[in-house]
Amino acid sequence: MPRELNKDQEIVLLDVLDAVLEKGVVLRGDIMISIADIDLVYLDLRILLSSVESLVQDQKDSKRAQKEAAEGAE
Amino acid sequence: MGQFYYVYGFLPAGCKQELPELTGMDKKTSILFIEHEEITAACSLVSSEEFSEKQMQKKVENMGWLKEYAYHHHEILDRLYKDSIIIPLSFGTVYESMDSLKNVISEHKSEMRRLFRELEGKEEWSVKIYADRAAFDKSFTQDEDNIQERKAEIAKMPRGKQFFALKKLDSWLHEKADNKIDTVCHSLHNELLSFTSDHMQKKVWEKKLSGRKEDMVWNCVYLFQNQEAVNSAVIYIREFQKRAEQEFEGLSVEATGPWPSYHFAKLQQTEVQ
Repeated sequence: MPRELNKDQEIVLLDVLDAVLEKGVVLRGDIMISIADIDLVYLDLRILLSSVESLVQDQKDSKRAQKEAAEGAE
Repeated sequence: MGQFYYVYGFLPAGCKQELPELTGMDKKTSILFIEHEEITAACSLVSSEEFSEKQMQKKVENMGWLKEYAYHHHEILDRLYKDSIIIPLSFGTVYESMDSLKNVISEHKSEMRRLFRELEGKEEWSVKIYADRAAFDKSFTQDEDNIQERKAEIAKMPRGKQFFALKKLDSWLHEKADNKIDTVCHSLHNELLSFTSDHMQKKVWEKKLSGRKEDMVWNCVYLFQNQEAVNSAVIYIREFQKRAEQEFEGLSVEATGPWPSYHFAKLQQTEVQ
């Protein structure tokens, strides 16, 4: 994840969603998601944010739990 | 139940091909590296039922699903980018068969190779500038010549006239502050251009999106030429921030990077056959 002068984690998360939903290479796939009205997505991104943060935390927790379980099994 | 290939991005052949710690879109299977004509596609198997066009279209309307999977898509790209140049695909590109994935690689291989060459050693960074307008406008207008005089003149006017004269003065000052902010942003931008090989200016986000109390006044992504250019730009940005703090109140600049090249790895779209 970005490394320098990075003061605002919420903004970084918004940048992530902005980048993968709107940017990146659009290459013809057999199936492609089309997000018709990106502005609507934009508006809803803020609502998503708190859940993204908890998602990051959940993943950290679950990795920790897996690690502990693995250590416990040894 | 059949399986499809969800593709994250393309890498040059011979890149690191083990990522045991990461799982693909189904959160179960690992990332596959399919090599074809010296291009590697990073992908993973997904259920043909869950990732059918109809199902996916339905799912993206569910914000919770979209958030979780869009973030996971980035997480995989970000991890891959640590070891290799990558052409990141936008979220939700799925191939029904290995043949059609290979066909797409064959069709675009020269362009992909050109991009690998162009992006080699370069770094994408995002730079945003924020302005606390109350603080900035106050400190900026204090220094403007004749403002105090003009205010004193207005104070002598009859009450009714005062109201309109003050309103006019305020909007004039606000416009001057707008112009000043624009000049300051462009001075940073012009300096950064000497370190970059490309840039893309983006819309500034409204407060309801950014969630900040300050206004976003600059939002731009830069493709820095190399590591040295990044280091110089970082030093420049820090100096710029210091100068801005001395000269005006309420301006702050934030930079994040390096990002997978979302904004600069572009393939020409071919006509759908």
